[in-house]
Amino acid sequence: MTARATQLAFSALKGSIPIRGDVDGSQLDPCAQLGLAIMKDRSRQVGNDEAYLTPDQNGAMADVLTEYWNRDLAVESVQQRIAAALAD
Amino acid sequence: MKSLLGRAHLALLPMAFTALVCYLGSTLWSIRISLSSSHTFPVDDFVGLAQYRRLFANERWLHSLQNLGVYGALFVLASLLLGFLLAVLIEREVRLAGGLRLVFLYPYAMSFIATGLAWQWLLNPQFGIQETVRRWGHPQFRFDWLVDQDRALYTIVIATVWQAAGLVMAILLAGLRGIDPDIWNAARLEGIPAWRLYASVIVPMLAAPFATAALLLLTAVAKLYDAVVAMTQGGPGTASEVPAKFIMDHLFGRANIAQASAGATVLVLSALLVLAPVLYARVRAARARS
Repeated sequence: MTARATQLAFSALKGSIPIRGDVDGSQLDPCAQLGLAIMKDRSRQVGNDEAYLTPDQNGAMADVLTEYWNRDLAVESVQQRIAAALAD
Repeated sequence: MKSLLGRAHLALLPMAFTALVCYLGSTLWSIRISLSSSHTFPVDDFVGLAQYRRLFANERWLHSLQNLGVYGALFVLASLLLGFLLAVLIEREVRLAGGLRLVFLYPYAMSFIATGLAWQWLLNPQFGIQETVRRWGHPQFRFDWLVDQDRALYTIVIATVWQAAGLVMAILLAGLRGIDPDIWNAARLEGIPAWRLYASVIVPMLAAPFATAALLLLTAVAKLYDAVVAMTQGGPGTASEVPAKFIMDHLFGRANIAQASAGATVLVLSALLVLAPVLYARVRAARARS
C-alpha cells in the first residue's frame, strides 16, 4: 500500500498527493505536483490542532467557525473571536 | 418536644448528611473551582473573576442565556395554558375522566431523551410531518422548523410542552376538584357564562396550584439538556444552545471545569434571583396570616 508505485497510481486516480515525499511526481497533474512541492516546504508546515491545542481551544475554534457558518457576522468580529479562542 | 428528640433526629441524619455534604458541599466546591484556573483537574490557585469575564465574553454562552429566556417564557406559559384547558375539559367530561387523565399524563412518564428523539423523527423534514403532508397532496407544504436557524428553539418548546402539559393538568385537576360545588351552582343560578366564571372566579381561586405547577416547570426549564441533545444537538449552529449543554460540553468534551463551574454558578444565582422574591412573598404572607 505504501510502495511508491501504488501511491502514485492511487493519487493519479483520486486526485490527491501520495503519503510519502520521496516519489517522482512528474506523472501527476499540475495541482498534485504543486501540492508535493508545498508539503516539502518546511516554512509552510503547521502543527496538528488536535495535538498542539488544548481541547478547550479546539472547541472554542469550532464554536467560532460554527457561528460564522450559520450567522451573518462581520469579518473583523470573527477575527477577534478567533484570537480570543486561541488566547487561553 | 423532648420525647421527639433522639429517634426522629436520628432518622433525619442521612437526609441531612446528603443535603449538607452532597448538595450544598458540591455547590460550594463548584463555586470554588470557578474561581480557579482548573482545566482537566482541579487546581488550587485563585484567579478572581477571570473565568466569569471570559464566560460573558463568550458569544455561545450569551446565546444560551437568551435562548433559555425565550424558551422558559414560552414553555411555562404554553404548559400552564394547555394544562389548564385539559384540566377544565376533564373536569366537565365526568364519564371519560379516568381514561383521559391517563392519556394526558402518560407523556410525563417518558424520559426527556425518548421524547426528544420521537419528536425529532416527527419534525424531520425528510421523514416526518412535512414529507407526510406533501405525500398527501400538498407539495408546497413546509414544516422544517427543526433545521431553521430562527425556529429550532420552538420545536423544543413543542416537544417539552407536550410532555409537561400532563403534569400541569394533574395538579390543576386536583385544585379544581377542591373547589366548593356551591360556586358552580351559584354561577348557574346567576346565569354567568362559563368562560367568565373561569376567568374571573376559578383561576384566581387556583392561585396555589398554579404556583406549584409554575415552580415545577421553572425547575424543568433550568435543567433543560437532554431534550436539546436528543432533538437538535444545539440546533443548526448554535440556534438552540442552552446553558446546561454549555456546562456539560465544557465539563467533559472541552476539559475546562473552571468555565463549566462558572456557568453553573451563574445558573444557580439566576435561579436564586428568581426564587428570592417568591420566597419573600410567601414568608410575608405567612406572617400576615398568623
